[in-house]
Amino acid sequence: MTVSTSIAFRDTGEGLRHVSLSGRLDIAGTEAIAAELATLCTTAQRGVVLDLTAVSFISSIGIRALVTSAKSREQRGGKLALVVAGDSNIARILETTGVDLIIPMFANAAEADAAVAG
Amino acid sequence: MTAHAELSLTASPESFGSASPWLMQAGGDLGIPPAQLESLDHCLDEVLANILSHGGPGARQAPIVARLYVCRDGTRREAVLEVSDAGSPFDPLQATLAPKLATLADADAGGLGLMLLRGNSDELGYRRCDGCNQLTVRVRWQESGATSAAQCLRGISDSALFRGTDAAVIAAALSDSPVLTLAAGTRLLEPGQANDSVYLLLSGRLATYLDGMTSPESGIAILPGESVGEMSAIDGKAVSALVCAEEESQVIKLPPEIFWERLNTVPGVARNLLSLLTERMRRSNEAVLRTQRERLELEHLHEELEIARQLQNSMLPQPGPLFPERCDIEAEGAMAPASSVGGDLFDAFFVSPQRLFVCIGDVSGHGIPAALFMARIVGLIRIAAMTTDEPHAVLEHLNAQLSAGNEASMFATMFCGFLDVPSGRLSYSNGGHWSPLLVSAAGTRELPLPKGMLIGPISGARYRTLEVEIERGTTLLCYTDGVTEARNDAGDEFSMEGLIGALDSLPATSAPLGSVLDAVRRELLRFSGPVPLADDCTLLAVRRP
Repeated sequence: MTVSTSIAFRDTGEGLRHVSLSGRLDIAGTEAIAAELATLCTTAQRGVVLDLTAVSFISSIGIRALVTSAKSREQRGGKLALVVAGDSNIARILETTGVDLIIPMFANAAEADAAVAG
Repeated sequence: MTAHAELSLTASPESFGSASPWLMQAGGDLGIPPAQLESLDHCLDEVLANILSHGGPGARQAPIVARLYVCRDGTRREAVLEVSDAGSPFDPLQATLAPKLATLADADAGGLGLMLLRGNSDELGYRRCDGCNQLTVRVRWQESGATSAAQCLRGISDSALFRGTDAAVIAAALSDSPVLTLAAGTRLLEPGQANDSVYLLLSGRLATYLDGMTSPESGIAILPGESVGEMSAIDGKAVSALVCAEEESQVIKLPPEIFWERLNTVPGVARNLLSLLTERMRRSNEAVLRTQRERLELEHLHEELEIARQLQNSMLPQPGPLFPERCDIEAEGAMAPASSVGGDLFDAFFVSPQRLFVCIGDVSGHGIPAALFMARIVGLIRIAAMTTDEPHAVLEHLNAQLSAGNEASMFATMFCGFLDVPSGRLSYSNGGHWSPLLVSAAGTRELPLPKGMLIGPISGARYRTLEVEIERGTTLLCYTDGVTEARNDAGDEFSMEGLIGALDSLPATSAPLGSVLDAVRRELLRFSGPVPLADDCTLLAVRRP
């Protein structure tokens, strides 16, 4: 019954990269996608929208991977925003830990696109 | 403290992938509600993350052990998760709690783990004992008492029956439904019983037995949030399956007026009930199919064993006189395998017009492995007997072949010899087998044997050849230890005396060999009585008339 963690991405015409994660961002899950997430976030042309709506679980290890990705994006002069379902556990955890204060977090993808493009 | 679950992990992210599935399974079995399980899921991941980053090499040398159990006190419940590791001493509770992240630039996301641990537990404890870090996470909840059904429902609000429905409406509908506590082993529903209520499992575990028998394999588990009794409550017929509490369980009883009038009118419940019944039907179909498949496999296996037995029989000489066309020699064998395929073997064939080769052996063990080993020996010894004149060379050749790559350390005893029919000279050798008997009018005596190792376990074993002259009318009777070691219900062995007694009851020189073998077999069966043969019984008799 292991829930596999997966990562997929799509580049839009405007130089935006949509990365979607699904499954569990626990130790094993984060380990499975960390390298690809870091690569996708640093090699994007401009901004990255990280869609977490299909993530069912996130631990400090997963949060660390998000923060590292956002940092590396910022160091290369671009933005990273998160898309998180409004009343989900993931949103609650990211708010409790203050991640929403340092990485812009949106409940819908269009708003996230606008924030990253602007 | 009641039952506990335990998981052993190695300190690597891949190994930790099994932690959450284990927790969910074990926690569900222990009746920990979903919300508390989710908290524990978070705590476990954070504790393991700490071990990974602070445990050092020590943590990787010994397994990390996680234990889960539930303490009960009245209606209060406490799930305890203990994680111990042999890493460097590290008390995560003494680490500084990270301030909420301020800016991305200076965020290192350290200390978040402790924040999540605190946020997801009611109590945390750390101690260092026996060279291990032991972290204890406690999560508490109230188990609803018999008085308040609504309270119990909190834990099962996402149960299959109520999925997607309004929890408040459900709680109101069930507010006055009785909650029953069933001790382990209690029969909630029995086949044939009239029933019009539906029972919803709140905690613990039930099992349904379609065949009405509580054999462990045939039970279908019912877990908290699932219901039983819907079928008879719907069609009004008698209960068809036995439903038992596998451990102490709490069920909420929904009498018809509540089930039909209050619950089924709640939007979504009727649809959920239908899909639940469908799911139940599917599961029972699968159970039936599985049973059927297993029965077919067993039948198939029996057929194959029967074929193996026939094949094995066809490898050995057939019952009855072996060389009826010759008047200068009589030879006959008989065999009674203990299990359907046995490990005894014997053979007798002419390697030249006047030289008869005889052998008898006993392979260690029973069943298919012994039969396969035996089949190999039958083939090898036929080749060896055709290529050498010396019995010890036959055994040495056989041993060399069998000891090579003998991983299972199987072995066999083996007596073999070449009989020059006109002169009666028998040259023979032995690998750990019992002395054959020489039966004559003067009485019965054992053939003196050279020492020789069992065949198969050790390569390079050496064997010796001896010679004896067998008079006309003297019978060489070879046997396996299944004959002399057969036991009766008093535990006594048939023994050599029993065998000799059976032989002495016949005119040794004139009785047909078939009747000699029959007499031994008859005495043996009379002796052992109702006790089934523990070992194969094989006899081979050779005589010059």
